[in-house]
Amino acid sequence: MAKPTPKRGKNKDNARRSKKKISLLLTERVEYVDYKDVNLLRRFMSDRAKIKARRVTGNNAQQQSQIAMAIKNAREMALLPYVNRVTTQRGGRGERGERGGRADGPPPRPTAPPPTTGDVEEGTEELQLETTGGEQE
Amino acid sequence: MRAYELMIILEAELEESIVQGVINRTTEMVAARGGSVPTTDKWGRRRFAYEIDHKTEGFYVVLEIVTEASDLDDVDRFLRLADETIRHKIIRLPDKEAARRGLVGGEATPATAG
Repeated sequence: MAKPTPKRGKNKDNARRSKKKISLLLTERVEYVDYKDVNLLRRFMSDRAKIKARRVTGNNAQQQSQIAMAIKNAREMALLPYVNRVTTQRGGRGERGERGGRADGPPPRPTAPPPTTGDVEEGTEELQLETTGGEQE
Repeated sequence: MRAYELMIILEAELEESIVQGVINRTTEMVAARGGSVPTTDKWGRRRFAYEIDHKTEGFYVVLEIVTEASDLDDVDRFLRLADETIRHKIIRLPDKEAARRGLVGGEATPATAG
């Protein structure tokens, strides 16, 4: 019983980390991580300007520490950003925002349909009703 | 003697003479304590990665300084008080890196008092 379980574990382990990541610092032979070397440091940051994890970059503890310090120094001197906003398009958000704006927008209209609190789909219907009503007046 | 690196961000719209004045002032202060400034590298105007005080650009200057430990307090205070500087940073270069750049070469006397 004792023998098969460790074997399984080892196999799993090997399969998962069959490729040992080699750090960029080794492949590029960087001796001193300079905070002025923006192009190098950018490769250790995500597109949102977060510092990448060790398991992603393959750094050892010392290298990761040097990279982190360098990036933080560079951030203080405005060489690198603290945050980078990535514009993501989401359908749901925009619709909701529009609806909210509309509900606040035309309040002085007593002839509008009475129940205005509803789900997103109902809201769009109501909006259409409101606009048609306005045209009639 | 130890090697340091000083980066200064000055206002972008300053005239050349004022920029040179700040650099001269710092080098004088270092020299007054017996240090030296082997290289002064003017990067010039550079865009910030983010806005600082509603400014998007700055004039970057990088100095390499060799001086005794903790003799840069005056420089630090001067730069902090100067109106022309937006930011500055003093970094102690590791001995290995300093030797590689040829700043602290033969005189290998590690100061234990520092």
